[in-house]
Amino acid sequence: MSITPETANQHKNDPAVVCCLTQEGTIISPADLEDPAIFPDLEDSGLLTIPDNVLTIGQVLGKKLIKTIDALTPITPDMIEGEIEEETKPEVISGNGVAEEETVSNAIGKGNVIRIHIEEGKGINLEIPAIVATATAVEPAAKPSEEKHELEEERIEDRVKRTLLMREFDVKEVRLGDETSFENGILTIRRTLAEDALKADPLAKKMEIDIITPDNKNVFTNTIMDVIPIATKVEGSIGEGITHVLSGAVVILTGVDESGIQVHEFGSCEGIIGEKVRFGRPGCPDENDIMIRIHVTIQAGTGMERKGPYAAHKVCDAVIQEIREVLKKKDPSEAARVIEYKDVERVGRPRVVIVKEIMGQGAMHDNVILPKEPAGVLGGRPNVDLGNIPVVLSPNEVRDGGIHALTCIGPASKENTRHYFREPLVNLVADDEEVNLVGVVFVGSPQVNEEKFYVSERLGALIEAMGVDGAIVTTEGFGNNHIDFASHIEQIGKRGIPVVGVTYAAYQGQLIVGNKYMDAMVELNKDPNGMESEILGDNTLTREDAERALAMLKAKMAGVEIKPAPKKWDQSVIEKNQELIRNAKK
Amino acid sequence: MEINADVRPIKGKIIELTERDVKIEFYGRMGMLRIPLRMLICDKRPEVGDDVELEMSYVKLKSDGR
Repeated sequence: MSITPETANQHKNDPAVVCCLTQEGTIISPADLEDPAIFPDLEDSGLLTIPDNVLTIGQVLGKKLIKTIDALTPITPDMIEGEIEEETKPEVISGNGVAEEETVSNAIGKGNVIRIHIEEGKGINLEIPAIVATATAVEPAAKPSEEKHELEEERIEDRVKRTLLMREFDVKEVRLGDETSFENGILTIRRTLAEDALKADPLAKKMEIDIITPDNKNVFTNTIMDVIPIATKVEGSIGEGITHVLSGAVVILTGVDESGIQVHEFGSCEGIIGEKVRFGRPGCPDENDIMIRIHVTIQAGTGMERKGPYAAHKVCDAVIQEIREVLKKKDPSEAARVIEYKDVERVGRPRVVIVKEIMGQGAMHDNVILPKEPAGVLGGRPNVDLGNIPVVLSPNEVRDGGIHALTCIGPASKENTRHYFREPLVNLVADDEEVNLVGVVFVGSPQVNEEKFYVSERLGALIEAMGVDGAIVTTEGFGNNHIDFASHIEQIGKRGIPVVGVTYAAYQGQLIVGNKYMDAMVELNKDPNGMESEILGDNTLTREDAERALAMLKAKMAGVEIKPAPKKWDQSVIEKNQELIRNAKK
Repeated sequence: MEINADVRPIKGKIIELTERDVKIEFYGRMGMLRIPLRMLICDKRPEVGDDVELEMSYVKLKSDGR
C-alpha cells in the first residue's frame, strides 16, 4: 500500500521500504513506499527485516532506483543513484515512549496566557498572564532563572472557592456490643443492627457483621463488593464545611445471593482476604486497617439485576449511618488530625479538567452520585438513571465522598468507593501549583455503542464550554467501556485540547479501538503478566500513576514530543517513565 | 503434539440476558459461554435470539488441575 506525501513527511525519519515491485530507473515518490505504521506487524510476521543501513524516507524521496527490487524491500544505499545526504538515523520505534528531557519550549495558550515550560535543570514551570509579562515572552529560554524572579513578584493571588475541613478520628479497636458508640478510640457496633438494617431494602435477606483485625488476615471472604470509608457531614453539604471521618477502620461489603452465588460472580475475588486484597491501594484497606465486614445475602437471582447489588449497598449504608450519627457528635478536640482541602482557582495557570469514566452498563455497573452523607447511598442519583450523561463535581466534592461506587468488574481494576474518597489523581492535580484544576467530570459508560457516542459527544461539548487547556481521561476496568474511553479522548483531542488517557490495558485488557488523539496514554497495570489478577485494587490508579499522567499532560501542553508507545504492552516503558519522574523530583 | 490452535470465527446466539450478563450458545450445540455485558460490543440493545460472533481457538488443557 502506498502512502500520501503528508504521511511521507510525517515519517521522513522512518525507514524507507518499497510497497510493491519497483522497477530500475524509478524516481522514488511516496506512492512507491510502504506505511511505516505497519512495520511492527510486518516484522512480527517475518515479512520484513529492516537492516541497519536502511535509508530514511526523507533520504530516498526523489532519488533514482538503480535496480529492480521486490515488494517490501528496505532501501539501502547500494540501490540508489548518487550521494545520500547524511541525515539523522532512522528512528525505529524504540519502545521507551517517554517525554524527552532537557526540552525548553513555550506556547501562547488560550486566554492570552504565555506558558513557559523549562524541563532542563530543576524542571521550573512558569505560567503567567500575557498581560503581566509580555516583555519576557520574547526569549523565554534565554535566562530562565532571572525570569523566575521577576515573575514571582507579579504573581496573582489564587482564589479559594471553598474549603472542606476533614477531622480524622483514630480507631484503635472495633467491637460488637449492645449499643453503637465511639469512645476513646473504641468503636462499638450494636449487634442487633444487623437485623434492623435489613429494613432498608426487602431484597436483602440476611446480614452478618464481623471484625477482621490486621493481624488476622487469614480468613475466608466472599467477593468484596466495596470498600467504604466511614465519614459523616457535621456542617455544610458534600464538598464544603466539616466532615468527620474514621481512620484505621473501614467497612468492606461482601455479598452472595440466597443460592450461594457471589453477587459479583464475574471477577469475584472470594478467597483468603490476606491474599485477595492489594492492601494500601487507594481503594483498598490499608495494611493496618481494621476491617468491619458486612456480609449481605440478597434474594436469589437478584444479583444479575440492578436492584440486587443496590439493595446490598443500601442495607450496608444503614449500618454505617448509625455509626455516622455517633461520629457526628464527637468533640473536635478529640480529632487526631485535621486536614484542610481547598477548591482553588489558580489564576493564570492552565485550566485542567479530569474526566473519570465510570461504569453504567447496569447491575453493579453503576455509581451513586452525590449522596447526602460522604460515601453514602441515600440522596444520591445513580448515573445509570441519569442516562450516563457527564456530571461535574468539584475536587472537594470528590474528596468528600461524592461518589459511592457499586463497583464493577473485575476486582483488580475496579474503583471502590474508598478509591474516589482518596482519588490520587484528583488530590495530585488539585494540589499542583502549576495547573488550575477546574473540575472533575464523571461520565457513565452505557452498554450500547449509540448511547456511548451520545454521552461522549455531550462530554466533548461540555469540555469545550469549560475552556480548558488540558484534560486527563481515566477509566476503570476494561471491555466495551474502552470504546467510549477512546471516543472521549477523540472528542477532547479534536477540539485542539491536549489530552492524556489513563487505563488498565496491558495484556488482558488491551484496547480494542483507537484514534490519532490517543498518543499520550498511561498504563495502570501492575500485574507481571498483564492480567486481571483477581486481587482487589491491584491494577487501579495509584499516586505514581497519577504523577506520570500529570507529567505527561504538562509535557503535552508544553508541546514536548511524546514518543510513540511500542505496539505491544511493555512494562519497562512504565518503569522508565516513572524513573524520569523520580529523577525530576530530586 | 503440534496442533493448529489458531483463532477462528465462531457464531452463536444469545439464549439468556440479564442486567448483568448474556449467555451465548454456540451453533451446532457446541457449548455455551456466559460473559458480563461489558464484554459484549453491540450497536443496539441486545435481545434473546440475537446472533453473535467471536473468534476463538480450540481449548487446550494446561494442567491436570491438581
